Amino acid sequence: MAQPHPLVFDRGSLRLDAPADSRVPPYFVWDDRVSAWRTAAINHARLREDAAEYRLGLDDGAERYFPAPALTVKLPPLRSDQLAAIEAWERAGRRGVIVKPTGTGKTEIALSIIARHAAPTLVVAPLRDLMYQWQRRIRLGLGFDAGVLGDGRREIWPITVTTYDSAWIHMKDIGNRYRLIVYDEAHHLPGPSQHESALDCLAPMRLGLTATPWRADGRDELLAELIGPKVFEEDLSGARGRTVADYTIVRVPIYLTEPEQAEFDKLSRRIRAYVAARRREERGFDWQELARRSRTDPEARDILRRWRRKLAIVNRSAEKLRVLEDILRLHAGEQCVIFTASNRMALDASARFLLPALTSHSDKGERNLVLDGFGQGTLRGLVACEVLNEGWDAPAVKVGVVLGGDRGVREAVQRLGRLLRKSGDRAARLYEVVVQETADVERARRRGRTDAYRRAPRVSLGQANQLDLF
Amino acid sequence: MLTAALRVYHWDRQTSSISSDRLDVEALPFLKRAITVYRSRVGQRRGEVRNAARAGLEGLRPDRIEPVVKLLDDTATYEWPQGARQAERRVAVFEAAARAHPLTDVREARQLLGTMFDPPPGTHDEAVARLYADYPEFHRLADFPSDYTAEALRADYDLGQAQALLFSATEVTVDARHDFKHILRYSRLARLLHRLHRSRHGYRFVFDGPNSVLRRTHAYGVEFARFLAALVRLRDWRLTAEITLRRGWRPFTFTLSAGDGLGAHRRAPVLFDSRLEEAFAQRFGAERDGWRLSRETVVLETGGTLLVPDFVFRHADGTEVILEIVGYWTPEYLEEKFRKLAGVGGIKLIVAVPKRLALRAEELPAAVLPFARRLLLHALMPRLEAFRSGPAGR
Repeated sequence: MAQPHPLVFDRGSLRLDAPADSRVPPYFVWDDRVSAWRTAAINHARLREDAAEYRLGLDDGAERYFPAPALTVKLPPLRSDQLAAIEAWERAGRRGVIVKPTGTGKTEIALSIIARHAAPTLVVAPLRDLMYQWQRRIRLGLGFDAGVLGDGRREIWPITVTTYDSAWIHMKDIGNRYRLIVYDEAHHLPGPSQHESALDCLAPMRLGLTATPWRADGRDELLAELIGPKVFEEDLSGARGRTVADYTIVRVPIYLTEPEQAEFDKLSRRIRAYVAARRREERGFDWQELARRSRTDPEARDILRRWRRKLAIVNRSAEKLRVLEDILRLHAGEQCVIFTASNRMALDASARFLLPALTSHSDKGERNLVLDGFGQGTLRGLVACEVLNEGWDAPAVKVGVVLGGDRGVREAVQRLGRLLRKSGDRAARLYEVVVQETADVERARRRGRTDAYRRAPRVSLGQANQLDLF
Repeated sequence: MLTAALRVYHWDRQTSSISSDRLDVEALPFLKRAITVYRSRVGQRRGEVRNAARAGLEGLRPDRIEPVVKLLDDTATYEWPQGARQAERRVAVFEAAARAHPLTDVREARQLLGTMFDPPPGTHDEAVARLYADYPEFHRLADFPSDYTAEALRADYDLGQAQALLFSATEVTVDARHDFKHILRYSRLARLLHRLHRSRHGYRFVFDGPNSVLRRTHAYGVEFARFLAALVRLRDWRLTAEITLRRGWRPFTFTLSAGDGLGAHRRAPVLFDSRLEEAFAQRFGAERDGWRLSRETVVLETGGTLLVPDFVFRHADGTEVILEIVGYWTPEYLEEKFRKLAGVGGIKLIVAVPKRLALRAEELPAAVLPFARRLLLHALMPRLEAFRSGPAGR
């Protein structure tokens, strides 16, 4: 073999300082700006295998892994389904996606993989809040203080948690420091630019976790390329009744107050009049056209503002707080999680009943304070706006309330999943407070299409009260 | 910097071109009104201030309102209870309330709030704002610079929109006739890579990032934007970028030039080492011992990289020697530089290096000129003369 060529990690790529006429694997591209060969960092493991075949001597300085983190592991024993998932991932060459329903211990699977390999690890989560949650779980389960990259913090440590957005921005600089990369809610990865974080990283061990691997845009195959094949799959129906409790959905229809309804109707009339007038001029006029026009046309902007005001009336309807009051009274002895559609509604509920609210503005300290307090029972309720929408590990909450919200089918599955934790034998209860005859109803209908929802029994608030007498 | 969500642009399907939005003179009265809002509402909450500014901008093209408010908000200073105190106080209230869970009585809740906040909040909205005083919405406006004019706001808007459009660029081309050195320095500071082509009147630089040879990527948009903020201060350049607004869409061509005046209100570029260079040029004079001095006239290509000398010395007999001042260096850096030059051949180079750093090197090549506070003529002249007699300076 010839003299070895230096291979370095160069901002998300691998640069091979070999002459232009060298024989290199096909995934290399000649970069005349720096007179060297270049390829994506993800190809590192492959390159090491291919080097011999190409008689390519490598002076490989690409990896600069953190030293193995010193862990104090305190994990509960794994169930057989979790062990099977880990086994499948190991067999697949430590690259692959594990599909398991929410609430069936995906986080524990990842933690025990980190522990068994003592690997410097980067965990990528879709939201800031989940990032902090991972940090908590790593502290509790592995006795290790993980760094936080994102949310204005730049702690690049042997185990680090980050978001998809931050990973995309920063992987160029840290893609050679980790042996294991974990993508939580991995179905987010094939997004238009976010997938580049997986390309810019050379970690040989890759783990994807998800409950719902499908994407509407059909970019799923990318997951296999970026993380690895689907190595384990378990669907919600299998998990139901074993690791999750049964649940009841109570839909509570409410109506706007008189002044609210009056304003709502006035707004509706104005909007309808505008749309009708436009349609007379232009038959295909639709909302998209309105949004486009609102950029330049003050009247269109005014109509759009009225429409937003309508949404705000529904989202912040005073009646929602009154119904919430009833529900809180009904379940006075139980902890309760309330989901809202807007930050403002979350703060309204928080200030009205003096319950902590977690929103996108809550920082790590407050979040930990609140979640710890909620776990220990010193806090009895919790209001969450969007932030807990995916994979929140609630300590066996039995009462959930949804005060409006709109995020499609996947969210509904996951929202439910959070409440389905088994503890004791009592069923969980999910209240859905819906304003009648508005967009809220449409959202509830869409939610109803989800598999888990279809099979859930539906009762009225009156029936619910009677159930509680037993 | 504006975010991608706040961009306003105009495209022309026929020519496949796109331009970033700019404010015209008619916008100035609106901007003045919005600035007055910020000046007069010190002490009020961010949400209120922003809404008042929006009202003041009513009449401006609707999609320009939010970016203008963002720029004003970035210019303003806000105050709020810093650190974890506010959150801790808040959670303490909630824990107290949890002991009486569920706290459905409004008066009881207000009373409890009164134990933490003085005076207790009188209304529901007040209660929300007091509990969550650290939320951006409830921050209080502390100050707005008195010298920030409507013209400055307009200029910030114009540049901000141009920068934001570059977020969607995959590469940026700059044609320049002057200031090559600054263009390269700025691009290096912005962590961009470049390709170089000679053009009729100067050079064409094509900028992108390491991964750009592997795939079309928008990963360097922020770097382009940062680079543009520096570029607009230079003269006689023209920038071209392909803008792909959405995956699969046809790309549009975005062009900008020094003539667009985006940097007109900004100060002239701060030359990193201008005083040193100017002082030296003055002491050297127009001619000395048959050598004439010119500044930044020749650009040398060594491989794909560019060497822009600080001075070029031309002797009456045709000998040409270039001098480059290097601010920070190591012996390895110099060695690499001379090695590259040797590969090109025919270039006579003197490198001036700060003396304090020269101590690190055991032995310096003759073509290295150490200097303390200024370049000394008596140290330079023999080095120049050496090039006339010998074939090379090393």
